[in-house]
Amino acid sequence: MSIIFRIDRVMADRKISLGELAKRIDLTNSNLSILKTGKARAIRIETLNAICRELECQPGDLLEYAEKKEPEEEKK
Amino acid sequence: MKYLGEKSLSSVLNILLKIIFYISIVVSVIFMVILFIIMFIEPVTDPNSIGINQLNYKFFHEFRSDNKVWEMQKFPLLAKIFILPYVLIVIGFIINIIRKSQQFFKNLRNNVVFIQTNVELLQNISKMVIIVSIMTLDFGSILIGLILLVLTEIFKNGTVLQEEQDLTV
Repeated sequence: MSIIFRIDRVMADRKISLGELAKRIDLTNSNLSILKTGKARAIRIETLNAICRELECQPGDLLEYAEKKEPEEEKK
Repeated sequence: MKYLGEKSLSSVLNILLKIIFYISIVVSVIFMVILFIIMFIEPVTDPNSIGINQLNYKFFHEFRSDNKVWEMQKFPLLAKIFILPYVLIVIGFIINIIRKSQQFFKNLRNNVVFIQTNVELLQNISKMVIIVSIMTLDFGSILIGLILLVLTEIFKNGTVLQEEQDLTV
């Protein structure tokens, strides 16, 4: 997929851990990890809304479109 | 009535099929031994024979009935050689169907429904049911096999949807 989820970058800027964020948005650690590692196939508006609320950011800060496929994806 | 998970119909079927699996192995071995004896062991006609021959006499004369099975003695050797592995293959398929069904219901008992393993199990079961029904000339069972094949496709689609659901955050 060419859409990259940059949640790790925003989390680092806000100095918030994965566990802490998961707790705040009422999501399991494993689900948030799926999102962070880019394994997610889809994201609910509800989840995006909660992440933006807690990280005080815009959806555009979290999502990025890359023209080229990443080497990891090419292997798949 | 609960169909999936612990203490459900699936768990009952899992246990039942496990018991049937072991019973069918024992019954199959006994059946194959009897079939071998009926087809290949020449009957002893002398009632005064001793040892193993006495056993042979008893088997063929005391347990003999008007059953057509005994006619197998008169079959040509080539037919006898063909029948034994044929029956063995059919029994093997039936035991395998029981085993795979048990594994399928074990997964359902564990609340694991839409996974690739279940798709493969159903696919194997349906194929084996069709093969057995053809081999035993029981064409009614082909319908069951075909229904299972359709069910496999439904499970395949279900697995894709489940994966999609699992990866939706």
